[in-house]
Amino acid sequence: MLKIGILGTAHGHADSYAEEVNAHPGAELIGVWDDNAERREASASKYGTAAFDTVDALCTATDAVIVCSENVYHRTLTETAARHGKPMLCEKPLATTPTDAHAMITDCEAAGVSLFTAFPCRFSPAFVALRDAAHRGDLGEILAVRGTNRGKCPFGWFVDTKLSGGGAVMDHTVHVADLLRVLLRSEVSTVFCEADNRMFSGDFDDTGIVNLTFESGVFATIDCSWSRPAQTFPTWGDVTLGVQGTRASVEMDMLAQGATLYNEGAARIQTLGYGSGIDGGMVAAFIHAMQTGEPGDLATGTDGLRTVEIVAAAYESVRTHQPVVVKRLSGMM
Amino acid sequence: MQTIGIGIVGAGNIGSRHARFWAQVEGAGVVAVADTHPGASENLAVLYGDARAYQTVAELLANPNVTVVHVCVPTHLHREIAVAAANAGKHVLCEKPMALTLSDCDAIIAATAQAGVCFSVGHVTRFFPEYALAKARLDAGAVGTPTIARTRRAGAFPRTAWFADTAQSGGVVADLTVHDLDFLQWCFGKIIRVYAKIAASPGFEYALLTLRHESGVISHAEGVWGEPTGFHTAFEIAGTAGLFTHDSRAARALVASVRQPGDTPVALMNAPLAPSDDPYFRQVRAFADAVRGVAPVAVSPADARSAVAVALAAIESAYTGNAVEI
Ligand SMILES: NC(=O)c1ccc[n+]([C@@H]2O[C@H](COP(=O)([O-])OP(=O)(O)OC[C@H]3O[C@@H](n4cnc5c(N)ncnc54)[C@H](O)[C@@H]3O)[C@@H](O)[C@H]2O)c1
Repeated sequence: MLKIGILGTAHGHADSYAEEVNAHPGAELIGVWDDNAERREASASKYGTAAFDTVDALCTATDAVIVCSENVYHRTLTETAARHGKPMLCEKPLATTPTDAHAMITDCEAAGVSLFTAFPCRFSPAFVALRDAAHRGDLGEILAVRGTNRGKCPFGWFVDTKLSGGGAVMDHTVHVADLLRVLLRSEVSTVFCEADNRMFSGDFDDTGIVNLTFESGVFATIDCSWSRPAQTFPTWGDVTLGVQGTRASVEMDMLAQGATLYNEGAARIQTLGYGSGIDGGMVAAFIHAMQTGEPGDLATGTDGLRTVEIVAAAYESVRTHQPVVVKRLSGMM
Repeated sequence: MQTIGIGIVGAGNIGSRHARFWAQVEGAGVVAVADTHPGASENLAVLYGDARAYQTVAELLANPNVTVVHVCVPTHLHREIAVAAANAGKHVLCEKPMALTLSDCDAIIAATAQAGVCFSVGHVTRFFPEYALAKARLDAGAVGTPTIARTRRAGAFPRTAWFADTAQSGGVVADLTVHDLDFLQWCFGKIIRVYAKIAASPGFEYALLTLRHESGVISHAEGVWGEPTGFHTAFEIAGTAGLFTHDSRAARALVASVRQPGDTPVALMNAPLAPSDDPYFRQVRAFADAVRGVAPVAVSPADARSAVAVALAAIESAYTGNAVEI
């Protein structure tokens, strides 16, 4: 049995990853750590696992770790896990700056441990089918993609830029940017972004359109806004791609497989998704990688870095109002 | 009582449609049609009683019964026809986009102002009930302060050859997305910056525009020529207190399907409207009201020029790779 520990449970995805580890026959969740004692205990009891007082203690007890802290702590937690020789899966965004992401990769490389970035959308059956069709050439030459990853505002530490590193652009650009890199098999050369704080007052961006131009010439936009109404929107948000090929266009609405519940009790209309979970596929791939050394479709640390570089360029573009050439740091893993 | 005599210039696709709706406007009627293509004006005029058919615009302009010239020729010719009509003292309703250069727009605006005639441009999207509803609800505060908006407009690649020549049509941005640019500016005010990308391949032209309004609203417009699933539009407006969305693909009142694959489809509109609600009817009726002096024109010349300015800036952005300030 692969022993897995979760470092930081500030990110809500920790709940889902914990559930997937618990459900996996080849792994067990042996504990959680969080710098907030209350959250640590609450998570431990929710996941039916032990609460560890220190990162070192948990790292010592595990074979591999999943990092789900606030974004800015990814780097130090990664460094500690690497020091313990523990491979890891780190929540997205990999880091809040390219420098941090690059340092994480370098540390893991030096320690000889693998670092993966949590991009579960890669494991969506809809995306996999789209990717395979595109790579077979069934769409012809892809010319452009319209993407969205919109959601409800997550508030909490997500809107505290000292902890999150940024708002919606930081939180929601990377998923679709990663899907596009996989789909197009090309790197982003320039980024243009309009973003602002318009929905909820504060010093964080909550609305944004990120434009990517790939080295291949393909262009794409990503709406990363926290623009879904908190009370009434029927789901948490969306992940969509509209892919324009010379032979075919494909519309992907990753979470479209849902039924509608007109919920009198909650006075809401809710979409209840029944599509295959994407976190399960990613966690299973991580466990498989730990057991076999085969990364499969997992996003590497470098994949994470590439998207962090895109986010950094997007924020620079917001300041300059012009497209920004992506500065790429060499990534090893 | 037929006080408003309509002269249709350009008896093609949209000219024929406008003639049909002008015929339904009380106190107005089609009195003349001009088209340079032999037979085209006759074919249309014959549908409207004793409407005269001409092969030159000059003849139509010389007809004193023509009080309104509806300019329905290919876009690069709008200026020539509109200016001539104004100089002949006719009110001018011009198809969108007003023109393909700002100097052409200015010439039309100057000529119509000089002549003291009514002038407007057919940004018919404002008359589509879903767009009008959005604007009305927006103004009533339905979504709070608008924050970010998106539009999509997708259709087949135009069948008529001149559209494929960007010098004549302006391409997908100036011809198609311009509808949404007008709508977006109508709702959120002047656009001050645009970044755009345009892709083209045979039978396909595609554009993504990222727009910033003076009001702070960010908007995103998508235009497709060569959409395989048929014409459709969609938009959403997010605000601090709500989200307003519409997708014509989901708002279909009628869907007919033939039982045998390959059988002739049943000719049914997906979203039929009462004749008096038809956006094209409401557009020409509104212009008739302006001609009678009972209402201002629905789309001001400045607004129509501004939509062209944004479209041109988008094309420039796509060409240069830079964001363009307007
Ligand atoms: N609002 C809308 O929904 C909408 C829809 C389609 C077209 N349009 C606009 O309408 C205009 C016409 O488009 P269309 O699709 O009807 O094109 P079309 O090609 O079907 O019709 C144009 C007609 O103008 C005639 N013509 C050309 N030069 C002329 C001239 N010098 N004098 C007189 N007639 C002349 C042609 O023979 C043809 O019959 C364009 O500006 C287009 O952008 C608007």
